Amino acid sequence: MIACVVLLWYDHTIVKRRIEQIFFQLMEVDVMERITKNQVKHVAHLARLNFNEEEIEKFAYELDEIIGFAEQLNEIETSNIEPTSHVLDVRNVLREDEKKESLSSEDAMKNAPDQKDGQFKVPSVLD
Amino acid sequence: MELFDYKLRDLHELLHKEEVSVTNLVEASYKRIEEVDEKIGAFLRLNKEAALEQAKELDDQLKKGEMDPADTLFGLPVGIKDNIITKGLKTTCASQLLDNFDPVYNATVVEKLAAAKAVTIGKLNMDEFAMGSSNENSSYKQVRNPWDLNRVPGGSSGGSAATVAAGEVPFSLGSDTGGSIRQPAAFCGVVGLKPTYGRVSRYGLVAFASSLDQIGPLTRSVEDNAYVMQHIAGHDERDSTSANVDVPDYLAALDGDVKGMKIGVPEEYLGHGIDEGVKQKVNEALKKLEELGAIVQKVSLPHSKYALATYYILASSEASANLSRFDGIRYGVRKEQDHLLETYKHTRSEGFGNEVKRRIMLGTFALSSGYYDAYYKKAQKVRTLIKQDFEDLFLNYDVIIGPTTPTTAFKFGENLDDPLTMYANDILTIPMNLAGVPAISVPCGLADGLPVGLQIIGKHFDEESVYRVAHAFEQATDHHKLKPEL
Amino acid sequence: MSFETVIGLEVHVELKTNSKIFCSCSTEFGAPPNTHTCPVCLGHPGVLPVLNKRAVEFAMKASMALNCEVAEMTKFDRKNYFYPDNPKAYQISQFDRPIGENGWIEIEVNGEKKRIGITRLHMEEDAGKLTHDEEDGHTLVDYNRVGTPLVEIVSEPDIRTPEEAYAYLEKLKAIMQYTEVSDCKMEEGSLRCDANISLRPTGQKEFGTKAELKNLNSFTNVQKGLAYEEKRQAEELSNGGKILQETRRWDDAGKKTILMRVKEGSDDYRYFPEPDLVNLYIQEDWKEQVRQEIPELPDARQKRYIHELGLPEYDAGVLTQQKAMSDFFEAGLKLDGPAKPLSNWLMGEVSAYLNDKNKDITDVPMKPEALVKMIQLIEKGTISSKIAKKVFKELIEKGGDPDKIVKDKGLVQISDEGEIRKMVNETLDNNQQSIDDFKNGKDKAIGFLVGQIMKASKGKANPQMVNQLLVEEIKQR
Repeated sequence: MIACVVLLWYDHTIVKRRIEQIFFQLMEVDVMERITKNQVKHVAHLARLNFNEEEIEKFAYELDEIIGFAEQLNEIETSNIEPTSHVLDVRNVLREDEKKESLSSEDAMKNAPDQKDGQFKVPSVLD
Repeated sequence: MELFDYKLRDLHELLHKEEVSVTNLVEASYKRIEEVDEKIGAFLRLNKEAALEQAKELDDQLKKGEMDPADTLFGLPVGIKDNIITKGLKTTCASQLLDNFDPVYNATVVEKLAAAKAVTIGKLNMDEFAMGSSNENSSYKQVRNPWDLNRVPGGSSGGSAATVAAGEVPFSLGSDTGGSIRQPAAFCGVVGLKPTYGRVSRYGLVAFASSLDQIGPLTRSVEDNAYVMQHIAGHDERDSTSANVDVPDYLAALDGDVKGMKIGVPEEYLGHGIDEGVKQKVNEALKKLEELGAIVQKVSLPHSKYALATYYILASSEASANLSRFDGIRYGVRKEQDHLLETYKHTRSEGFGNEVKRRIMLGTFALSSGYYDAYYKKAQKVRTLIKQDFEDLFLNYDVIIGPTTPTTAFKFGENLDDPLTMYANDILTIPMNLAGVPAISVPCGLADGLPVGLQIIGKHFDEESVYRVAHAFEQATDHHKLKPEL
Repeated sequence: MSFETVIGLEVHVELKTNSKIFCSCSTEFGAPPNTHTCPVCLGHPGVLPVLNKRAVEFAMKASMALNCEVAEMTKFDRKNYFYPDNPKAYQISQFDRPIGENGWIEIEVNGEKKRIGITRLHMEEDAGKLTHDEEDGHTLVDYNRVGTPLVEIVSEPDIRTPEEAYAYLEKLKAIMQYTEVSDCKMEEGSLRCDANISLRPTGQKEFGTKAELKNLNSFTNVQKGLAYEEKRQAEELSNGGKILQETRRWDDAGKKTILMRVKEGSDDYRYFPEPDLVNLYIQEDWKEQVRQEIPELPDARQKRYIHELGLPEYDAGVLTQQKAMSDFFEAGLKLDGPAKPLSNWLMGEVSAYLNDKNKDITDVPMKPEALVKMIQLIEKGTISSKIAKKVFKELIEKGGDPDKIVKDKGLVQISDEGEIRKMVNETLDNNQQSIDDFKNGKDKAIGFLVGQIMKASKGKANPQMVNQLLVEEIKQR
């Protein structure tokens, strides 16, 4: 299990992955169960990424493996454990409400891929 | 002896006595880069013109006796990892998406270096957006390990480690999210510190995983490391997660005295999956520390084995949000299409490399509706347990020691053949990021001609003990004097 | 079939801080595009947010004024979505630990009082402004507004009619203005409202499918949009149709709601705790300190006007609806202005003028001192109420001192008996027909004569005296 999970982090060819899948199927291990290709497409859309069918298939496999790997965390009883979002207990960091100088117009627009009249220009949001 | 074989403190003295000039140092740095960087590939971009001009100005100040002794980095050349924002010097994170990005502000650490009058030599190669452990994910070029050009320098701060090992600059800055300073430092035989989370400002560090990222120095010696750390550490009002904790005098901790210090050695860190050569070097190091009067005892970090899964869920989730701003709207390389949605998708799909996309996908999935509690929240809870493991140990021990990596530097592509090794590779450095504790990697000798890193881990904000032990060990051995032949 | 309407409102209110919520850029409205921006609010790589203390205190104040419980621990979360007005592609907002919860406000519709629950109040950052570039069909983005602190106030689905929705918004706005946390100017976008509306058969417990209304740029449009939607949904349901979960836009020109998009499931914003901001713990002493700064709120003022000043409930309600108006009234009282006449003027002439010109009381040059002095001139008989209208017009348009206006324009009332008697006789001399009419029982003729006399006096004659003397003189003819 672990081995196949770690494989994820490397770029295997689809062919190699297919061989793995067949191998796992022969071993009667559940594969491609947790994540469907449609879910991968949904996630890709949320992340604003485009993938071709081959890549979608690859990700379905990879995500499925990762989810399987993450399931080892279920071995641990955590119902009474507080989640850690911040490793230090720093609290109430606030600044006074003071205005400071903004960027010059030139700097604000410096890296703009496209601009017009001091504004960032993008393809229409109206479709 | 080369100029950069001197300690930073000695270089500072030499400058003060005007035995060398800043221009000498800066030129020496560029000369060395010219000689070896084609092989090493550490630099993505040089700052030559501005650096030489600054050197001239600093030399003028030297001549006029205007050098402030408090500016201990005066005139010292530094290389900066390319995910640290430098105003007017392109910052790409080794990504095609940011190929044209010209920052309009400076990271806090860059300001601090500038205030101490260090000279920025250039921007260092890395894995794209700091995602990777071999530098094979740079979208520009490969970094090669100065000890063996067929091997990886480690990652993601591969450029930062290789450049110091190759003698191109006397020190560099890197960033560490899951081992990205310590692992390449170990592979390249240099000293690399991941400070306590919150010790060094993250303002201006392009975020990978905000709750794990820290900037730290890579140097040839522990003393140099403490010397640089003294300047970059400290509270920053622009970073809400930076701790308002006094910065002690790190150099004062380097007195070589470890007598009576209690060292815990986690059995998990010297068990299955660790190379014999590495084990041997680490055990020798522990013996040396015992000889110096430290008390070494076996301990356990029981939740360590869950660190990898925990890390990949949390780091990827945070990354998926952190990297969303790279949408080609305000900066970066836009791949414009007729429609907005397609512009987003093309910009990001063509701009990001495979590893980055993979982690964005994982993180987006882990945060998505219906999966959050099962994965993200669960991982946050396990993080609490991993952190508690360390807290428990630190009730009884001053530092924890183990190897930095289970193997020495591997060959390009070699990781594909033995992924299990790679798995263990990450697990030795990831828990410290999850716990937020400081950890250093110091050279502890060679195994089959390749450097081995000794990892010394301390309590929150106790970099002093980490440095104390690291320095005592270093001074009692000759490992740090080894240099790769190039 | 009869239906019950269920309405819930989500109101965004911009907080009136000097600087943005997470950076030090100005929040001032109307600057040239992208001139109030910095690496932080532009979402440049590597930047970090630092929370504005006053924004937190304003959110606390707003929570308290809306009778919410203020959280002991609150935190921020990232709400992920891609849009050009959202520079980081996540908005820093609050998800599961909002700063305020479980509040309520009281509204009054047709003389009936009702409590509307407030589910939550949370802090977040505003987005940028998009404009459509007609010239070449692109969108232009101005990030000045990004990072302006907002509170989002979510009501319980307690509202049952569009009129209640209107009253809720009026009251909410008044409270925000009283606490001085926001200007609440809808035309500048400092108050924005989305409405959720669904219908259910009368008696049914479960809610029906709701539609979300957007682009409601005035309270009137909220009411109109809801009324339209109420009717549309009722017709749809009565005809056996189904309501889809959809977002609709109010089209003010067409006076109808238009479908924007049908929602499929809920949006997946992938909320997670913002790692760049630390938790905020609000201790009792801090709460108390903020509570002290909350001024008298509209409900309390209304009660005081009724019980201490003896104003009718309705008048007290209208006067306190807008803080500026109520403050004007308060200032007048402090200058010993008589409560009832002052209230009458504010509710009458002043409001009529402001409504007509679409202005606020703070937009006109008339000061409370001036209005009070004018009322005093009327009460002393120095000017007639008719003349007062002239003085008022001058005051509200140009400002100034009523004494001086009256003097300069010679508007002092004529109360000299001899002078008025002279005018009466002159008028009678010229209007024999009216005298005859009066004597023949046509009482109306007297009105005509009064008018003639007033005209002759240029409106300055004391009307009571004119009446009295006219009757005396006419009897003698």
